[in-house]
Amino acid sequence: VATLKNQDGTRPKRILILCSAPFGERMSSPGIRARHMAEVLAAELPETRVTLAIPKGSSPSGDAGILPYAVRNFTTSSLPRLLFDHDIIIANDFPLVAMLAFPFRTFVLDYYTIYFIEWLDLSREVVLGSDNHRRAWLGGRRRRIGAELVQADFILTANDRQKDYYVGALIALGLIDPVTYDFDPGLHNLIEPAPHGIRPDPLPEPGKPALRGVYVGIKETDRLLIWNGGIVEWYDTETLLRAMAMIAQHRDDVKLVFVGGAYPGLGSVGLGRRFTQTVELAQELGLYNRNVFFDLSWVPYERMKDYMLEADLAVCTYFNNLETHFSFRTRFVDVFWAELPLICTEGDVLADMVRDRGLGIAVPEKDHTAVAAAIEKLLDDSDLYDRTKRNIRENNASMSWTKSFEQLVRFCRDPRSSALSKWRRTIMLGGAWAQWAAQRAATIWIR
Amino acid sequence: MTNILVISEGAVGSRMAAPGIRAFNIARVLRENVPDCSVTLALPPSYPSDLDLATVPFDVTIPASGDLSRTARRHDVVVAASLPLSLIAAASSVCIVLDMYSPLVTEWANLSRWFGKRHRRAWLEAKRKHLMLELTAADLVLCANVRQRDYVAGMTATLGMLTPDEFDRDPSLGSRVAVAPMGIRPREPTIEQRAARRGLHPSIGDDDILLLWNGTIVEWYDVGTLLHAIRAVCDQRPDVKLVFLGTVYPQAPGNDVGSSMGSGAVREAVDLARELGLLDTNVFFNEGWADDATTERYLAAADIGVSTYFDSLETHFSFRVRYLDLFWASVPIVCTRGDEVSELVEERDLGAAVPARDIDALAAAIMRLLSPEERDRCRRNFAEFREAYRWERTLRPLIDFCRDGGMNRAEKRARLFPLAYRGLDWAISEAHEKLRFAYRKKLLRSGHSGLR
Repeated sequence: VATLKNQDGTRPKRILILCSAPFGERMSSPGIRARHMAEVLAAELPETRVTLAIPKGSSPSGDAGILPYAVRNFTTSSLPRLLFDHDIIIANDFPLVAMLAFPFRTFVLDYYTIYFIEWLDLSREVVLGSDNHRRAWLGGRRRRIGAELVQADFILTANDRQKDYYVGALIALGLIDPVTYDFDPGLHNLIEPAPHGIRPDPLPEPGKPALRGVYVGIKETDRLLIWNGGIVEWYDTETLLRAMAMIAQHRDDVKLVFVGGAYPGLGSVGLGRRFTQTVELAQELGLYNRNVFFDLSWVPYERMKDYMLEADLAVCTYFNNLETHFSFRTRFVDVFWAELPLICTEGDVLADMVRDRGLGIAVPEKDHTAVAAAIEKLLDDSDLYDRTKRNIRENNASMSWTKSFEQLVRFCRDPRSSALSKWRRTIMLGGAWAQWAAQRAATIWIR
Repeated sequence: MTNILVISEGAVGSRMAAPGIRAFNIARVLRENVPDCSVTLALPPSYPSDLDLATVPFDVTIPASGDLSRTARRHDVVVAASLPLSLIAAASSVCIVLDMYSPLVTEWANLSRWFGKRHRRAWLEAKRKHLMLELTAADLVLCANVRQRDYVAGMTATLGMLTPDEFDRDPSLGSRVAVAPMGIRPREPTIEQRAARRGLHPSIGDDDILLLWNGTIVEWYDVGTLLHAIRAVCDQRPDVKLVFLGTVYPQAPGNDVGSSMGSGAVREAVDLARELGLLDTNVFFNEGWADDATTERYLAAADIGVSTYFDSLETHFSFRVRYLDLFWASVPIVCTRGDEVSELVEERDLGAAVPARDIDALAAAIMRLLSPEERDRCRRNFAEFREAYRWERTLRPLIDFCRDGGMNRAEKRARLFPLAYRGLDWAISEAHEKLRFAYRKKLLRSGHSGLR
């Protein structure tokens, strides 16, 4: 890494964004987030050097030569060097070696889900083996989260509810220092929400048709509903399919397409039990490939635009449980970007926003009559449809990535953390990783 | 037959503060709503109680200090706001409900500011570890709002107390951490505003606008901004009067943390009011803690309820008990933004919420509510809203828990190791705190400033 100097002779601050998820054309939300973070930091902090580190084998989207930030491929062996070459390290997941750099570098943890609760849900089908094994595996995950929270000098979450949860976690780990609390009683220098933003590119002209005329059975005149994203454990597709069946009884111009069932990197998560159940139910209800279609590939981030532009409405139904309460569904942000009115289940922060700002209709959970009514209302009431589109357009201005990362930019400019002092945490960190290692060993042993 | 023990930490009778009110109503509501149960309310031995035993539907006991564990073991469910070791010792055979209606940790950090730095750290660490021990022992944790629920969920999950079995059974977590805020007074308000004014306070006339601060003044309240705003308002409207109702928290003799609570803040408030020329002309401080009848009269007489505080975690998580009285008497509210109630105030048009430390905004909000039409509109909005705060509704999760009453012995057993481990962890911190405290006292006695 070339060490450039600022005009006044000082060394520029070096910021590393570490993205360990697949990056490039077919990336999912961690990659998307890392890319936008790099863009925002490079634009807002021109006095720093921003590097985006992606796994070896991934390629950056766009021409690396003209990007305002550096892109580096990393491997396990080049990682320690990379970490020590930077002042601020931002990651969604700290690798074990990052512990070595902990006393000397500033670490920002980008946690935008409640991983533990997500894993509680997912582990029902993903972790094979006994109940004891599941328990041990979750114990390992929990300790890993604990270790990462100890290591973090600053934490980003996706919304206020997640911040509340993680404040509780920080207290349970003994990471809130009363003395810093006096100076920063809102903990603004320790933990702040940074929701997913809306992609900055303007709405393009529709490109090559992706759905209409491509799928046998979707006519040019059909009204198209899109489900943009995977179908995992916590999505309630049954209610949506039953609503579609209700609508199909009296009209045949409403079509639903599930796009992006497979999840890159975690293949089995997207095409798991819930996905199979959904396909089976669609067949049972006689909707499969007549009113309801499945696009089985993971659609590239850029190509997804074409799908969205062709649709009239977006839908997403789930259960109103704890996962929903804390979640910030990134797929909704794409829906807003495409200016699609959204029908979603009540319970999460974005559903509140949909309701309060009129961006679509939020329906009660497991209520297929309400879903059917909402779909028909938005499709048939053109005044409401236009008004909703207008509301979305107005609201989008407040959801830019630049705005989302305001607090991160502030922290990177002046990295003064309210976390417990480094030396106290260094001791805790050793203990936390040791606990994790012990639990990992136990997990391998308990099958 | 479910035997339920409700433990009160505060006085129960005619002069009740939040802990007493809450325990009393829990006992009452459980007795009335859980079929086939007996309810006993345990009172703290340190308070004289004027509770009329003939009028209450439950039993009352005053367990001797060493006897709590044995009393608890005679019951199936124990509801308590804190769990001393004697109760934790009983956790293996009874269901424990931890009634955590305030976000303790943030309060402690605020309350301990006057401690020496090292002693404060040790004290907070011991308090925190005790809370972790309580969360490990509890079968159900009650909190006052959704924000607190999320925060307790974070603590519970991090402690490893959120097991997959539990999650599969109830993915909403409702059987482990539930929202059960304080409720409003069960009786309807009876006194008319005009009648309540008569002879209430010599300096408050029938046509004055009465602003009511119905609670104590403690560290996290921002009285300074309010008094400055009142100064600005009174320059135009000298008929605006502000009463601080109850300045000292009712506490047991010998509880030094409680009795010193807020005393400095009260003195500062009185001094500032004098300095601004408001004391005893437009701003009045009631000494002591107002009893129930007086509080009800003031609530009936009030035009606007005020409460101002700072932007902190304490505010973010809090559900201030004083608001419930304002809900009950349908008094329009002027408050600071930042807590959940202030969001409700704005959403439901119950008054006005202003940014923290903003004197002009606060003065403007008070000025706006001086118009009787504005106040009447706000008052009407309370009618439906306050129904949600009937004790029977706020305590629903607890009623359901006591109804199902079953305890999972396997899970209890699984918790024994974490309990023992956290108990030890806490004991070490507690010993450390005691040493720090002794050292600090020694320093103070030898004439040291005691700042470290």
